Amino acid sequence: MMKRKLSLIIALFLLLGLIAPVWALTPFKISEYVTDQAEMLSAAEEETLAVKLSNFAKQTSNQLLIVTLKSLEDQDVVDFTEQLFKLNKPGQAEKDNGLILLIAKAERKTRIEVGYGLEEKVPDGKAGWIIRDQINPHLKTGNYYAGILAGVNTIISEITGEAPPADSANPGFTKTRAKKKDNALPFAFLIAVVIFIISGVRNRAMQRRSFRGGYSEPWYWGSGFDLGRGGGFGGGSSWGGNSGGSDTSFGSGGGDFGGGGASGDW
Amino acid sequence: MKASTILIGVILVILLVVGSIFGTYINYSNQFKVMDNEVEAQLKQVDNVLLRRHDLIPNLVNTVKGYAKHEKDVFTNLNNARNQLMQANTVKEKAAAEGQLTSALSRLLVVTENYPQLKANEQFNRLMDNLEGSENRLTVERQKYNELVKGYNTKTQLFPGSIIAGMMGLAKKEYFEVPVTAKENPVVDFNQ
Repeated sequence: MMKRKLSLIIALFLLLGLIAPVWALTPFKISEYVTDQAEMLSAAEEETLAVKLSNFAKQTSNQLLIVTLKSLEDQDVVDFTEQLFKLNKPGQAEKDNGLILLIAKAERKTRIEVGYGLEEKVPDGKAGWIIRDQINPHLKTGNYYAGILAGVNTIISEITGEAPPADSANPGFTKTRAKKKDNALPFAFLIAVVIFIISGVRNRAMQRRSFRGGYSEPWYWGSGFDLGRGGGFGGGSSWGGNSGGSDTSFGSGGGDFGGGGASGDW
Repeated sequence: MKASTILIGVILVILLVVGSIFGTYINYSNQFKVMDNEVEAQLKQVDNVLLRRHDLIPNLVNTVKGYAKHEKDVFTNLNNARNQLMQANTVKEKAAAEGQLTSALSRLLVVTENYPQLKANEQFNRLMDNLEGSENRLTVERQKYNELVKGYNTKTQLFPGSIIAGMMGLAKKEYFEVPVTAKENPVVDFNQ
């Protein structure tokens, strides 16, 4: 009996050993506009940035995400940011207006990954300049918030074509916040309807298919379809779940990217 | 009475079989056409990215030349690769020329490491951002292309798609593969 228990425990440890490398660093689902894994920001700073980005997304539909990592764990910064983008799909599906600003603390690397739709507003050279000129000098001196804020402000002003806002005061804040609460419920409802329709279409497609022979899946069920809509679903549930609580949660719009952006060391 | 019922039954079954075969054919041939168009469109996208990188080179060469005049080999290599890419037509040729261009470019980058003044040049930095961006774009678009080709090839090779593809005269599509040499790290001989 004792022996059996012991071997069970050993087996469990072995299993954990197998799983551990998978845990190391895999692209994760993002649920907030600011994901500060490296703890480079204080709670208040994080909140300010998240509210800013959330408001920007509500007003313009552009979804900008900030991610800080403790370490890339031997992964390539470009590769990892692209995987994150692929999984979380910031930006609207038809506009592809998403962007990820990723900072890896241990490796001292910064990457801006730009969605298709924002490439014109934030071309590679501009993204590189923002990293070199606006973000990294602050990061070098340990002033992480200043660097990220400057980067976000510049990116926003590049997108809107307006001068960077004065960051402390945000007059539109309370108004948009109140408005958003009203919007959350109909929006969640809308997404529920869309999901309902899509699943209906899928079911019908399945039925038709099986009538014709049932040996093959429709071609459009390939990974592309699942990935694309999968992002949308994730967004839907996170919206529904948070409609009453914090309003800085991020729901993916299904935006795509093509490898645009830039990286830099600090 | 009984014979006519059987006859009607047989006709119905034949109609059903013929109908479903016909339906399957139309269904598959339409899907093949859609997939074919998608592959073509994605190849255009790959071409766009290649062209984009291609257009960066004269500017990059001029900027680097301002600091590193005597690195003639690097510039010649780059020009050759660029000309080859301009002449490439098939996916295979393009992939090969693209690989050559990549290695010529990485040689140039190694050389620029020796000129610290270049790194302080904002125009050079922006060109490098663009270059890096085009390379990432190429990777992304190439992956998308290969995924579409894979889907297409699988669909046209599996029964019953294989029969229908045979009837339509559809051939297997080529992957956009980077030659192995392009992935090797460039070696620069400083004794030259």
